[in-house]
Amino acid sequence: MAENASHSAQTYTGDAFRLSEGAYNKVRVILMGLAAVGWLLLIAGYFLDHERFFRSYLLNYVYSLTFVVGALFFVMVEHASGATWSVVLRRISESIMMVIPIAALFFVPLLFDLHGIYEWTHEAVVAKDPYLFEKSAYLNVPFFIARAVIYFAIWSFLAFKLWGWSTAQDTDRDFAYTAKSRRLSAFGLLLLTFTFSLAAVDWVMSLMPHWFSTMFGLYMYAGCATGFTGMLILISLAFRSNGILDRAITEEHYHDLGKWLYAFNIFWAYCAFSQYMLIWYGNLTEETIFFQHRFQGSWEYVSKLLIFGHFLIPFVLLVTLWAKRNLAVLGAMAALLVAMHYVDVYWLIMGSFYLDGVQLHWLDAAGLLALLPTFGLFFWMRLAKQHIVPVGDLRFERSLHFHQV
Amino acid sequence: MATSTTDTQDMAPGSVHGKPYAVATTFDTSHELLSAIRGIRKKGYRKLDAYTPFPIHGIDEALGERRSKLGFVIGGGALAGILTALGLQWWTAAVDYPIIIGGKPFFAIEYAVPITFELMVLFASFAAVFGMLAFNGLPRFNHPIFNYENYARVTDDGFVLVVERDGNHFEPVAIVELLNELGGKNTEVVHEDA
Repeated sequence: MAENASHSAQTYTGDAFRLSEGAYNKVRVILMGLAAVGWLLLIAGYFLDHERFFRSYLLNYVYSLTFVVGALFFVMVEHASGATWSVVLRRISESIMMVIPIAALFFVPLLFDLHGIYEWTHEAVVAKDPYLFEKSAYLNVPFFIARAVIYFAIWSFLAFKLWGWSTAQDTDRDFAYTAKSRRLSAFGLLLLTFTFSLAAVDWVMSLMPHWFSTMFGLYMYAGCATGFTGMLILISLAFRSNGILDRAITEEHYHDLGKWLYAFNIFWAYCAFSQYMLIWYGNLTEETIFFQHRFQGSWEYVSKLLIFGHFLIPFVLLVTLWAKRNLAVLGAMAALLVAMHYVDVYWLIMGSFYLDGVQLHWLDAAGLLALLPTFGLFFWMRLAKQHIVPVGDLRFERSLHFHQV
Repeated sequence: MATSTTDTQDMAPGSVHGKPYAVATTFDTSHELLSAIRGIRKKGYRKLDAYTPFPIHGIDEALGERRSKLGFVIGGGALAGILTALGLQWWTAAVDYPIIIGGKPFFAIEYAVPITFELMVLFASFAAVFGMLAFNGLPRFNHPIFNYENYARVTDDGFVLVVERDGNHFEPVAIVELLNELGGKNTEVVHEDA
């Protein structure tokens, strides 16, 4: 080990571990092209179908945002737990996490049609509805916007702090940054969990303002972590097939990523089932309405697709050690879960708008094409500016030579 | 215990009568141990074991240890738990004594899942613990390796390599010589208790 460490320290502190100009430009052009097409379609959709535009925008905004929040969560868990294995993956996660301030800007378009999205913003409806009237102390437009500002402020603060310390450490290798990051992350995880739960309630659960579930925030949080891990695996595999970090991120790291994906997928299923079973058992009208609509018409098939595609199939196929270390299987499962995460968010959001059945619309695809590559582009530009691994972290060498015991 | 081998045999009467169990030797560093393991495997010896004061990276691969089959036993336990729980809940609630509770169906997967999950975990844990004991040949009161005089150093600073008897074919003298060549100290033929 000692020989390895000194050898690699000499090899890696130079210009290695940076994106090459060619790779950077190639991906940037692809992402910009996709986003340009997406935004053109989306803007056309704004004039063609005003109502659907905002619904599709909300859907794809929430979907894209979950990866960014998932990245912040992942980075903070790594810091708080002092993980060594994942240090080689941290800069990628940090660059995704740094999309948060940009994502805050993309929240603004939603404010132009809150009436079209959220029933509780209509004062006439609220005045006649005793339930909504009681809830209006929380569910009102000024407080809704204020909360969104607070969420994004907290998330941006955490992201900027962790990013600043991590990049400063690249040059001076000062252990104090690691200690500071750990302290902030322990507290930051509590803050993120709390604020994201509320954000899930605000942006998604309040689409059905009469319905409530205390499990909802955690359910979406688990979805975030699952979706992000799937995305991180896909990004790492894409890097690998293009010769980026292909020797740094080894099967040992993929094995741990596989465990992480597997564990969070089970946690997602656990949250989903806990929410469902209590509502099933309680059998109260105001609670069952959420599932009532999602078991009717074509939504029934979407619900079943989630049970099998999001949980049972990955659960069975990814259970063995062999599957987690087989990059083809792991990549397929990561792709499946990233796709199923979209189905999940679709089910949550569109299921509240179109109660009788699924109504697919080309604007959903346009929104995805616009928002996800846009977020991806900002991630990519961020990643290219410095080393793509935290070379200054004292655990970095050990992470490179990490082996499962 | 700074006594010679002869003294030990006198102190533990009977051990001299037992069949030879293995040849054991001690190294001072994990590095020496690993290279000796590679050396002795090259000579064709496969039934090896190593005792070390702390876990050593790569020692499983060096010893040629295959992956434990315990996972399959645990999987079997989990499956047994699932079937038991579902069978028990379905049979008692829907067949043997059907009774309407809270307006729910006699049997429904919704209420059965928590108990099924718990029983799966319970049976899998039992399978893990008892399977591990069975694979390790535990519990047992004694082990022939304790007859190796230098064995106590394993909990201190010694790295012990053991070449076990493989069937009836066992040439202790040749192995002792080989281990000494590989740098082993206090090399001894260890006997089973009679």
